[in-house]
Amino acid sequence: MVVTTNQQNVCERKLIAAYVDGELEEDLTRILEEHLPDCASCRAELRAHRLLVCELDAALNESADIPVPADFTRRVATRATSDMSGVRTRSENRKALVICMILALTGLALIGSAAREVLFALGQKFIAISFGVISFFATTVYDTVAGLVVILRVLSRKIIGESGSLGPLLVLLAVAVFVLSRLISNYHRPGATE
Amino acid sequence: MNLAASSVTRAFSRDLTAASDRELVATAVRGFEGSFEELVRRYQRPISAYVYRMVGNYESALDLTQEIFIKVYSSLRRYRAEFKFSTWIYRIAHNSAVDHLRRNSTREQSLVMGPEHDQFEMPVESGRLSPEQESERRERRVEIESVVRALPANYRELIILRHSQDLSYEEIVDVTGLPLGTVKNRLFRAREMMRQQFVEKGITGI
Repeated sequence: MVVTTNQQNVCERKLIAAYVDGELEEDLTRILEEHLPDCASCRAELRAHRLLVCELDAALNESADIPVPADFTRRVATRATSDMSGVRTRSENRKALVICMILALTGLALIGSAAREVLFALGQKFIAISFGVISFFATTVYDTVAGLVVILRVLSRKIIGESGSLGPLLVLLAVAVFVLSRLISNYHRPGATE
Repeated sequence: MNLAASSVTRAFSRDLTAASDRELVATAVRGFEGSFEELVRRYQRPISAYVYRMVGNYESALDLTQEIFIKVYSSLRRYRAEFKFSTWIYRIAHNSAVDHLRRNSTREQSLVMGPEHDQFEMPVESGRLSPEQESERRERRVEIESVVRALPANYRELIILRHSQDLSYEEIVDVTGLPLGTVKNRLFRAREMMRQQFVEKGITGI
């Protein structure tokens, strides 16, 4: 282990660092220990590294804790344990969900039976009002349609009865179809609507 | 909880401090909250000290420590007894601290550039030292702390795990997920950087 180059020097210092940490492999430890008595620079490096490690250990060791608040343990444990997501298994969660649903349904059933009469009366009233509204609309529509039919029938009878034939009526129809087709074609022409 | 489990936890609750970490985890998973509280009591100081040295801010360190224990509790079922609990919890703490530094990368820059307002001096156990020796020792410790803080985060974490938390190389590998060679190299390089800093600051005897 003679120091000849910078690279070698770095390698040796790395070995010495691991040796000081007690992390050097056995065979390398043996080689280093055999080498040390003959090499003053490695001995100096070993002393310097040991001193550095001792200083670092003393300055940074675990006893130099940061102060934590008095109730820190309890606060942390309570916060952590109130979050059940990790500790409960999926089957436990499923079971809890089923129990909650059963309880909710039972609760609803109990409320329902306690307020049966009120709910029943409300339901009846709701159905009666719904039927009333529906029948009103149905009657209105029926009456409107019936009235229109009567008016159309009277008008047609008047026109056909006065002319005595279908001729003028057919002419009127032809004029209406012609005018209507013109109107449609004008509407579809570009710019016609502007 | 079944009857057998409840009798175990009842017997267990009598002497939580004597229980091993693994026993505490097993009973905490069964729903015995006292076990988890004991785990928090055991690890809150080393974890908060580690986090503080990583993030450099007292309030953030306490908040982060709390988050870490919440993560630990919610992951207890995933803990495998073949690993050391301390290594497992440090891994969670390490990941949280690294995430925090990543989220607050500008803050980390200020941490590297100089002391922050929210820092405090680490307590020094006095032993039987004279006031002069004590103040000298305190000053030295503050200097060393500041040199550690000035290291890049990926070097600083290894120095803290090794010298503050007393972890072996193998444990550091487990905590950080780095290859052993990288751990060795970075530790060596971090110490070299620190030596350089000590020389520049005129700190002698190191």
